[in-house]
Amino acid sequence: MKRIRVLFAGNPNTGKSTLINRLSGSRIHVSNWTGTTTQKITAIVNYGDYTLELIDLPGVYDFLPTTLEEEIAIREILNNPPDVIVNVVDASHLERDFHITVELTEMGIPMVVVLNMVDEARSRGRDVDTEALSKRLGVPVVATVARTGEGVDRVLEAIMDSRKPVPVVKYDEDIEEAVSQLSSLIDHPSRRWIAVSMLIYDDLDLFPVNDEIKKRARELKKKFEGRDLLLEVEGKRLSFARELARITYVVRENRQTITHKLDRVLLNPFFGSIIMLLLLIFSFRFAFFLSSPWVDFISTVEEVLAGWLASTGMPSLLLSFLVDGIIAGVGTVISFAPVLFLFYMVISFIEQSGILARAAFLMDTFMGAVGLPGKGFVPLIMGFGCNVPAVYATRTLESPRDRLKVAMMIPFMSCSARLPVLVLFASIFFPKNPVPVVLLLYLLGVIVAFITAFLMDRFIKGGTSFSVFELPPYRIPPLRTIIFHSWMRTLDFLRGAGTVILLAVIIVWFMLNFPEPYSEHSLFGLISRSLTGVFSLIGINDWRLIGSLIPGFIAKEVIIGSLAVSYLGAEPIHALGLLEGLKMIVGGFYQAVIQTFASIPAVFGIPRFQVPVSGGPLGQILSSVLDTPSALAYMVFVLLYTPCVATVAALKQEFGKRWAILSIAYQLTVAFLMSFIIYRLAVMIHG
Amino acid sequence: MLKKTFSLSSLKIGDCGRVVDFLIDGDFRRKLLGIGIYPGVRLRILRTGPFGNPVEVLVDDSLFVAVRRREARNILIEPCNEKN
Repeated sequence: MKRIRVLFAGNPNTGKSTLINRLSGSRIHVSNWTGTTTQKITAIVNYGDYTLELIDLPGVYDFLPTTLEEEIAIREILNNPPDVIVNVVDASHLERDFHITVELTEMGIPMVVVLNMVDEARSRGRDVDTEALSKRLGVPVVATVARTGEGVDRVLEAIMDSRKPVPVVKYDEDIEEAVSQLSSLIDHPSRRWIAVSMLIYDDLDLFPVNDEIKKRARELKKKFEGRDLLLEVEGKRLSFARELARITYVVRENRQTITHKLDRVLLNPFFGSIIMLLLLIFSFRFAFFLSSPWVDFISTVEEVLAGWLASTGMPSLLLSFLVDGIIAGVGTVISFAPVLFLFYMVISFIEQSGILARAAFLMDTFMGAVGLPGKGFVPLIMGFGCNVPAVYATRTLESPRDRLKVAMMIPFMSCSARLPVLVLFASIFFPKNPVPVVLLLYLLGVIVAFITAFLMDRFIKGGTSFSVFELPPYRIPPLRTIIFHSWMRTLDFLRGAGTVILLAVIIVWFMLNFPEPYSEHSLFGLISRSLTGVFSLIGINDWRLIGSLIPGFIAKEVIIGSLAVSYLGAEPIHALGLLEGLKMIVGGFYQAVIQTFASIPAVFGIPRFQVPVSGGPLGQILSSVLDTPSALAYMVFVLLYTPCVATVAALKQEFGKRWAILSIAYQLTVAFLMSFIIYRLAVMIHG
Repeated sequence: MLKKTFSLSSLKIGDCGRVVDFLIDGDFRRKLLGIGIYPGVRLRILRTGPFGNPVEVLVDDSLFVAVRRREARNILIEPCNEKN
C-alpha cells in the first residue's frame, strides 16, 4: 500500500475542511499541531492501491507568517515536504486567492488547484474555466462546491494526476541571479521559494537551512540595500495572480450579493447591535436550556452508581472514597460535556457563518480602547457562559500579547457556574431586588476585567497590534461540520482537563475526610479555620463559609453543595438494588430527552428572570451566620476569586504554567481587595 | 502628471481609491498584501463602525475588509477615475 501525503493549503474560509470532510467520510482524526493547541485535522482515504493521508493546514494570507497559524502552515511544508499540495481557493475572488497559488508554484511540489464555492461565484456573475488555468499552470484544476459535494469526486483523481507546476513568476535579473545562487546551495524541493523568502524576510531561523546558507543569504541581501525587495517580489507575484485570474474568469461581473444587502442591517451600529445582542441571548439559552437536562441525567447516574455500591455493604470510608471521590470526580468532568458541546456548536456556527466577523466589526472601537482588536470581544462574551472554551477561543487573535490579555480578563467574566451561588445569596440577603444585585456584580466583573487589560497594557511590553480582518460572505455552515468540530473540541477538553479535575476532587475528598471526616478537625476544617483571621477582615468568621471556597476552586457550583454538606451534614447514600438502579437510569434518560425537546420553545421565549425562593434550610442558616455587608463581601469574593481548575488547566495549556499560576495569585489578590473595599463601604452605609 | 495621493482614512463613505503605496512595512504591510490590499487595487468605502471605526472597504469589487481608521492612515491611495 503506497502512502501519499497530501497537504491542503489556501486562504482562510475557502472550505478546506469541508472538502476534506467530503472526501474522507468518517475516517477523520483530530489532534493538535505539535507544541500548540491549534487543531490539526487529518483524514485517510483509500484510492486504488494507494492510501492517501489528507492533512488540513491552517488557512494563511501569506506563507511568511504574521500569525501562529501561518507559522504552523509554513513549518509543516518546509520541515515535512508533502507528496502533493492541494490549493483550495474561493472562486469568487481569484485575484486575491491566487497570491497563495503563485507562492505555491515556487515550492517545487506537485500541485492541484481546487476552485471551490463556484456556486457563490456564479451568483455574483463570475464563471470559471478550469481548462485554461490548468493549461497555464500545468497542473490539474477542479471546480467544486464542497458544501454540496459537487465536483468533489474529481479531486482524488486530480491528486493522483498532480504535477509540479510550470514556473510562472520571473523577477528582475539581479534578483533572479541572487535567487539562483542561493537556491543552488539548498537541498530541498522548495529551494526556490526558500531562496526568495530568505532575501525578503528577516527571521532566517524559519528556514530549514544551515548557518552557511544563512550567512550567504545575509551577504546577498546587502546588495539590495536601499531597495524595497519585498514589495518588488510581491508586486510581481500579485501581478501574476491577476493574470491567472484573468485567464480563469470567463465572465466577471459585480452582482451584489445577499451578504452585501444583509450587512446594511447587521453592520448598522444601532440595528446590528440589537440583533447581535438577541443572538447572544439566544445562544446562551440554547447552550444552557438544552444541556441542563443532561447534566441532571449525569447526576442521576452518579446517584444510582452510589446506590449500587452502597448495597454491597463495603466499609464506609471506602464507599465515601468511591462515591465522593471517584464517582463525583468523573461525574464533574463529564457534566462539563453537555454545556461545552452546545457552546462549541454555537461558537462554530458564529465563526463559520460570518457573524463573528460582524460582531468584531461592531465592537472594534470599544476593544480598541484597551488596546485589543474587535475579535477579542468574542472570547470575553463566551466567558459569561463558561471560561474554559473562552480561553481556547483566544486563539482567533493574532498577537500572542492580545491572546494573553484577553485570557487574563476572561476569569472576571462571571461564568454560569457562579450564578447559582450569587442568586442564592442575593435572594436571601436582598429579597426585594435580587436581580439588580446580580447584574451589578456582573458589571463589577466586567469593569475589573477591563482595568486588568488596561494595567497589562501599561506594564507589559509588547509590539503594537494591528487589526485588519476580512468579513467573509454569510454562509450556512453544514451541520455535520459543526457537530464534528464541537464534538472534537469537547473531547479535547475532557482529555486535557479531565485528569486535573479528577485529581482535584480526590485531593479535596482527602482534605474533607482526614483526620476526622466532615468536621472542623479535618484538614479542610483546619485550613479553613487558619484563614478565619484573614477573612474576618471582610466580615466572614465561620470556617464553613471559607472552607466551601476550596472545593469552589474545582467548579464554582460546588460551593452550594459544599455549604449544604458543611452546615446540614452529608446526605446518606441510599443502597439500591440492581433493577431499581437500572429503572432510574432509563427513566432519567427518558426524562432528559423529553426535557431537551420541552426546552426548545423556552430558548425562543420571552426573557424571564427566575427568582428562586429564599433557599430553604440552607438559606435560614446562612442568614443567621452572615449579615448583609459580609454576605455582599462573600458574593464579591466568589465572583472574582480564582478561575476554576478546568480554566487553570486551559490557561496552562495555552500560555504556560507561569501565567496560569499568576492568574490565580492575581485573582485572589483582586478578589480580596474588592471584597474588603465593598465590605467597608457596605458597613459604612448599613451600619 | 502628478497625481494627488491621500491616505485611505481621509476617504468618505462611497468614495473610491486606488492603492498606491504604504507608509509602513513589516508584519502589517505583509498582512495587507496577503488580504488583498496591494498597489493597483481599487477600494471603495462602504461604511464605518460605531464612532467612525473601523472602516469597511470593498476590495477589488470582490471582498470585504475592515481596517481601523488609525491604521488606514498608512495606506496611500489616489482617487479612482473613469479610466481606472
